[in-house]
Amino acid sequence: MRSWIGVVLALSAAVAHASVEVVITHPAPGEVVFGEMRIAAEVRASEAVARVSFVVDGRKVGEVTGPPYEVVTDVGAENVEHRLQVLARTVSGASAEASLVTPRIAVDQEVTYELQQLYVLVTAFGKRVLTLEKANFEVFDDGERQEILTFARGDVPLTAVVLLDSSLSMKGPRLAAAQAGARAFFAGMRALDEGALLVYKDRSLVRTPFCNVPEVLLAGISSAAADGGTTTNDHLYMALKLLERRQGRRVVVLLSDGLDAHSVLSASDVLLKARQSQALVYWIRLRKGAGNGSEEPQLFSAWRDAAWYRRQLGTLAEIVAQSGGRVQVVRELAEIGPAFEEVMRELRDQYVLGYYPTTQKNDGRWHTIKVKVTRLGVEVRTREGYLDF
Amino acid sequence: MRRGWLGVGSWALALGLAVQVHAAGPEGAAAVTRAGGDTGENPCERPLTAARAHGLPARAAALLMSGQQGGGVAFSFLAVPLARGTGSITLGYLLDIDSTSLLGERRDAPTAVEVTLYALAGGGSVSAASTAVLELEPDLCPELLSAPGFRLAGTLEVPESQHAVRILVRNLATGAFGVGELPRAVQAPAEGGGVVATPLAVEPAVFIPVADSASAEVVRQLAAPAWLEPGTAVSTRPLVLAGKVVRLLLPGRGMLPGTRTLAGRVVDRKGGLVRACELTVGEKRGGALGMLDLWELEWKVPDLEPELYFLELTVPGVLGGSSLQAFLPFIVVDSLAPPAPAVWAALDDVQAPEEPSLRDAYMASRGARDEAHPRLRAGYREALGLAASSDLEAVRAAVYELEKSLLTSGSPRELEGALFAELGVAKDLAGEQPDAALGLALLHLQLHDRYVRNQAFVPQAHARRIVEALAELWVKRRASPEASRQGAELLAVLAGSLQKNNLDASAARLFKRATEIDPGCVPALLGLAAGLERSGAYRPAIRFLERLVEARPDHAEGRLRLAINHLRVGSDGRAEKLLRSLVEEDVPAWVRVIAYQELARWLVGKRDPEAACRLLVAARQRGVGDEQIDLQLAFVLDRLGRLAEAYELMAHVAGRASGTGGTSPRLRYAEWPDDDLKAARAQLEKALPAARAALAEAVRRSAKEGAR
Repeated sequence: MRSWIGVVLALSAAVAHASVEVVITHPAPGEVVFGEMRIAAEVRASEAVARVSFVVDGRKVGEVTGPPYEVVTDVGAENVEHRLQVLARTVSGASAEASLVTPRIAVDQEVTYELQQLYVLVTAFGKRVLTLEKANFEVFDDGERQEILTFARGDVPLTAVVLLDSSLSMKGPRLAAAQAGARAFFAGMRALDEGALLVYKDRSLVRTPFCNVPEVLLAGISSAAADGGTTTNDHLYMALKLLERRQGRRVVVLLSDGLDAHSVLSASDVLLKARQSQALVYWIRLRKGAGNGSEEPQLFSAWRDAAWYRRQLGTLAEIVAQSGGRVQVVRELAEIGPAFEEVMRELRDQYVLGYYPTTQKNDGRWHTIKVKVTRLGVEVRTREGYLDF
Repeated sequence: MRRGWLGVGSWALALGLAVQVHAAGPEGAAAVTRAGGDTGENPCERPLTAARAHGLPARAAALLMSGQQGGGVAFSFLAVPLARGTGSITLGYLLDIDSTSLLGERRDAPTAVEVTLYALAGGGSVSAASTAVLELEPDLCPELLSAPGFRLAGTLEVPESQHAVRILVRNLATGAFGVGELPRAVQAPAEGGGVVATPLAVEPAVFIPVADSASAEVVRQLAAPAWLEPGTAVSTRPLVLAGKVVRLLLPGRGMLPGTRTLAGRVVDRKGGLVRACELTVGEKRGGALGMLDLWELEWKVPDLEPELYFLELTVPGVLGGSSLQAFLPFIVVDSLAPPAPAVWAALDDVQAPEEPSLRDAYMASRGARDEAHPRLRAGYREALGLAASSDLEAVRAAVYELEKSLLTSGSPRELEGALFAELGVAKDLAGEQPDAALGLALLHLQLHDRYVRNQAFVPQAHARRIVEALAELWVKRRASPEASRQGAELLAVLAGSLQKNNLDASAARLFKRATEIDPGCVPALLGLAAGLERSGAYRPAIRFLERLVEARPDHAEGRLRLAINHLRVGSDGRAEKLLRSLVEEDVPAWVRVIAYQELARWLVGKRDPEAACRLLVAARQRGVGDEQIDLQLAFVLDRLGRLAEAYELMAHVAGRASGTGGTSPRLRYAEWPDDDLKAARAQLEKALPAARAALAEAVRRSAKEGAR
């Protein structure tokens, strides 16, 4: 994001008419990093690139000689700043360097998450496995095995915020299909579940309180028209924040093409919030052709350039993955309703595991979580970790 | 003495074939390429970024040197010898790349495409190479997917000897590639010169938007690369109908030695003879293509099954040199479709000209003007005659109907004729009364708006050109600071309208021209900067914004945009100063909100969330009510670890009534600047009564002249 440019240094040099430029494309400026992470750079040179070196906190962690210019490295779990440097050199010796300092997180003692809850989906050959018992699970927090204290299946009540993008790119039948999808989702709520609806464009259009009455939740939805800009990041942040004090399972279901031209917050800002939150984020992603034919939004604006948009989409997907949710790509309008219903079904089929971390220190560190199932041939999906506050 | 590559008196030292295409025939011939269409517009408003890479990618070299041909990516190609240097020849090339096979399943993902050309000398050694990397972003240019493909133009320097050119097109994201070879792209001098072994076809004019570098100040609307003569485009893949007569163009230099017919052979893909044939030699057109003349050849296409063939043509040397051979690939088809518009990319350094037809219209003789579109000229005179007795609305209505009924095809010839005809009348009237030019310019500006509203595309294109021409005429005839201001504002208002209709390149050109006429033209400086900002050219945008702020230090929007662009390029000090002044001064509410937001974002970015928090709290205390300010404050409180306060604030925001709330400040910023354009228009319309009176007077005088 451009306003973060103060922490990004991009230098280029020329030798014998050759020029080279390097820019760090991942992580985004302002993003907090923990554990295993990817460093990616874009190198533009007027001649062949000989090598690109990656340095973290003064230590060389990798070198590549051809695109893609990226490495994966472990920066550790400490809540500290990291200095990332990428150095590119061309065949004739021209070189350039980019550096980025990732921030640490301020630690707050006001709110602590004591009981860690994990929402775990187990599948085998594409089908959900619903017959597991507590004894079948093992939970590791920062590599240390934890005692599972609470165990339940998907009937644990949930609190969901449905976020509907109502910007110009949703014009036409897209918005109507999105509204129908939200209806289908709320219709699937059970007695103890609660929901809220946020419809937005460059501003909020509809905001409902949390409740269990679909009629209340859907009261204003029909009046929303598709026009104006997009503020997905701002509203995803708002949803995560509003879920912070809710009990039970917390879920955000976002329906959007993921583009965002007018938020004051970046996707990296929201990623930070998502890591603090225990909410699951599902993204029903509208792609080209989903009811809007030629009216695809343009990937440039006064606020963003194309590279920014690419980062936005990547970071949004990262938010979803780290939360333990899922991106559901939708290319046909008829798929939107079933996608919402499938999210609800998936939530019902999750196992809910609770434990008190033995490693908790409230120091803002990133904890990695691994869940193992003592059964062969199954896949396990849950969130990748959490920030220890 | 070594014979020159192109010596006068020796026949056809360079030789090629072309299929000529006329709007109405000859029957049975058409050049189906990615170029042209009558509109002359690149369907992709933002040109593809094409960068020349100097390295030779190892994988590309391996593929090219392997000798294989084919692959999954389809393209067609031609080369034309353009100029001769000391021991070298500049070979111009055109490459039409098929999007469908190139992009495959990754149709909506950004992709980089590498295009490598190798010139191979007789022994198979590489004597010249060129690599270009094009960035394709289907989201930025959906036409890449919907049109048949896109076209790359460039040049390659090769030594003076016989060369084949091998071409590799590679999708860097998927690895899909296509390899092809053009045998004898350049003929060895010892054999009599160069051979262009590909077809050339004259097609309707094309104007090609090209950004010649990423940091170009303006995405310029440019004519074709210089070696593609204005008004022509070149086909890389001619389609013909069996049994029909087509006209070929044979590039060469000198005199064709006596003969009126040439022997030809149609061969198949493997070089096997399919049919012998004969071609009739016609007229010569001097200097029509690069450094070559073009000879017309007529050829009746044999009755062949639909398939790809090659026409092999033998031309005798004039000074006892050996015969030359040319190869024309052609495809026999059952029916012909009109060419689709092209998406262009080019590597040539080309100059931004004024629109050729506009320049020509100024330079045209009275006779030429009188000959141009006589019906429109007569009708236009008659419609303007109403100005002597009626109000301007009657004139507007009459010109509207006239242009709508007569301007239908949008062909370059029609548009040029219309411009000649109406500008001719306007020049006559301005000769009587200079102010008439302003009246006419305003009249056509209003007509332009009406055509835009009614989606009358051809008259709209004409209205753009005539307004531009009349603004220039007004500035030249009046030659006063006031006329310069008005002329610049006219162009800026027109450019603003184009900008809103996504004609960014044309808008940029007009804004730029407006700033040349009046360096302090605020709407033009702002519009130009906004366009540059939107295309990511932040430093050039800053240059225009600095000029604006210098001319109008109180211009709040200009200062805000300047500050934001300074932040983008790392000039934090200047940006901070501007933003702090904006939050303190009496500026429009939307400007103040964004100034607070950006200042806070900058403070967070330099890891001072405490200062950002204080700033945002102060904004709220000063009554700057905005949902995004609240949201940003919640985020900053989160960063400070004050999660509970952040939650309370967000809950408070969520609890407030929502609603449409109008346009947010950040959306307002992202829209095209309009306030100054509206003000300029209002100023211009104040001049309308006097200009109308001048027009009426000029019409009366002209009528009297005519009567005498």
